[in-house]
Amino acid sequence: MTSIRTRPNSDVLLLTVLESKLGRIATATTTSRRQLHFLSKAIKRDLGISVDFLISKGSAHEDMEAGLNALLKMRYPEVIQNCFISFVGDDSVEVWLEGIASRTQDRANYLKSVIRNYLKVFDVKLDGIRWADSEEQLPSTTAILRELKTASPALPVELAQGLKARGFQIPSVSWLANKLDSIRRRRHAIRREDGRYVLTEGGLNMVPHGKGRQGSDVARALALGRKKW
Amino acid sequence: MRHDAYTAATNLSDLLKHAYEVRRIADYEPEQRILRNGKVIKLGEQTMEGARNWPSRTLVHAKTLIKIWRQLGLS
Repeated sequence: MTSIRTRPNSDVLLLTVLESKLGRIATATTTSRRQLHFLSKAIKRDLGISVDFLISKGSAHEDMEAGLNALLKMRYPEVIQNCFISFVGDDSVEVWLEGIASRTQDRANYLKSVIRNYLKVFDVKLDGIRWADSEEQLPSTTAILRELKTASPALPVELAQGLKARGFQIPSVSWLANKLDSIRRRRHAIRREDGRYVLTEGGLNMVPHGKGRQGSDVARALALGRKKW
Repeated sequence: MRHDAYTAATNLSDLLKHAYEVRRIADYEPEQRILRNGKVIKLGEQTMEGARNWPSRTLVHAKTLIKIWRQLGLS
């Protein structure tokens, strides 16, 4: 712990912990977020004091980040707008990149090796790279089930349209048909004779529902109203 | 996906806590001075360089969370 600060307006005590002392699990030399959470609860329970933890990055981390940022912006100005680093372990980090994800695997791999080599200078390993901006993405099974809930009974091509309208990328209708087939094999949907897919009860349980305007139940009710029978 | 959500959420919450603390010090503790060490400007424990990144970091984490939100079919 590097410092204790009080917030005069409230009764909360702010404790600063160095990031380097934070690990995934609690060991002899590191604590973990979970342990900090338990600690604050225990303090509240035993001493009646509200405590909050602030994780501060060391200057080494900031310098490393600033250096990588400058390096990438200089070498790839059209691709990378920003980057930052977050620690996932004692000596490995994830690098978050903001920019246009490279379309070609070669460029992406090259970029990865540039970053890896840079980090090696600091004795730090690269755990992975995260892109922040890829707008178009493939729908997950849950996303497909969600669309199916709204649109049942639906043909694959109709589902593809609905998913695209939600902003997902569909490589092809047959790709979606494959996914629907594995959904069917898991018994989350059935395929009718006319080629339309319908959610089963099991599939229905997989879709999150909410009470708000965006809830899937509401969407289904509205879609039913719009359907032409 | 769970790991991404966890990282984005914790990073974002850390950032917000830091930002709140600096703002609070700036507003309510005027006796705390802004320290300058060469090119590094600091208030409390926060450097200005670090703070400069806040808007884009917030956006990055928010976008990640929204992406996961959509994948889960919650929006």
